[in-house]
Amino acid sequence: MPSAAELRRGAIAFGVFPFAAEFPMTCLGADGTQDQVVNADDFAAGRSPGGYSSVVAKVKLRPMLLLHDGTRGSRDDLLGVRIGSVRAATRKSGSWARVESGDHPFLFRLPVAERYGLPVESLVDLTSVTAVNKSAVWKIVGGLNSAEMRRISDCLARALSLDLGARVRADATELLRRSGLLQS
Amino acid sequence: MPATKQSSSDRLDQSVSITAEEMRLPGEARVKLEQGGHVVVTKYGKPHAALLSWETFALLGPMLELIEAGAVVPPEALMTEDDVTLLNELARDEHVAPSEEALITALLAETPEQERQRMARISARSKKASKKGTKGGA
Repeated sequence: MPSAAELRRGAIAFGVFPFAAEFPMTCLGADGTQDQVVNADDFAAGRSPGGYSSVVAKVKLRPMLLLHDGTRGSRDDLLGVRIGSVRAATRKSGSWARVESGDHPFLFRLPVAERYGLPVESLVDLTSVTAVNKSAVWKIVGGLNSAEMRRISDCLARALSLDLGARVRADATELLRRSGLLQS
Repeated sequence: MPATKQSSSDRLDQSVSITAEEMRLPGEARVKLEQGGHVVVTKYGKPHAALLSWETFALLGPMLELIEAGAVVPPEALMTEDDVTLLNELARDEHVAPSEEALITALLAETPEQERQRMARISARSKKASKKGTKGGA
């Protein structure tokens, strides 16, 4: 497992990344019994006390892009986004032209290059931000540079509907004030 | 937060009108526009510009204004059906490519020294990229 210092913003790491939970779901009771639960209502009803303690979740050992660094040893989780490999069907998608030209708002293409450390052309899916426990991060294989991470930040702001207008205005006002173009 | 309002003159500054004679679209493209479709103009084999029918542009105009003004737009409003299909496929993709399998096998077989060297290479590349403040691209 990488050290906290190696878990840096922009790093590409292989790790155990969960698929989004969905029903029907296999749930395990505290006594070891196993149930197929069909929806969230049934899950909530069977949850406690003595209800379901665990569920069978699908995970995949896959590459992910780490979104922040400065992680402290005492903090268990970090944020990442999923990286998927490009397949023949992906190239046939009507979205591929925008992906390939680098214009897609939510998919960032990684061609095969040594610095990314991935053996196949891949896509960073910016709609898949997920918290991952640090213990689930296995190996760092490469990384994005600062210019690429700025592009990722722009795409994330759009994908997450972040309202940055107020902050941008405040920063611009402060710059104008410092340069003497605006009286405080 | 409301979007910063853009005046009509600002909007006009961002467009230019030309006559159909000046544009000389091929017949296939003219038909596509008349059918409410769009025409992608490529340059060196890559998408460069898009032409919409006036009716379609009038429909999309308010959305373009919002985006240009920096308003928060629901991300799914910016997705085509193809985007949604592709994102769903990526989200559910359990397949591991043979070359990824080979990489995982190679990483499993790494000695501590080989792992240290790999991390040193990644770190050196990262420092070099930070110093240069490099532009994107592989």
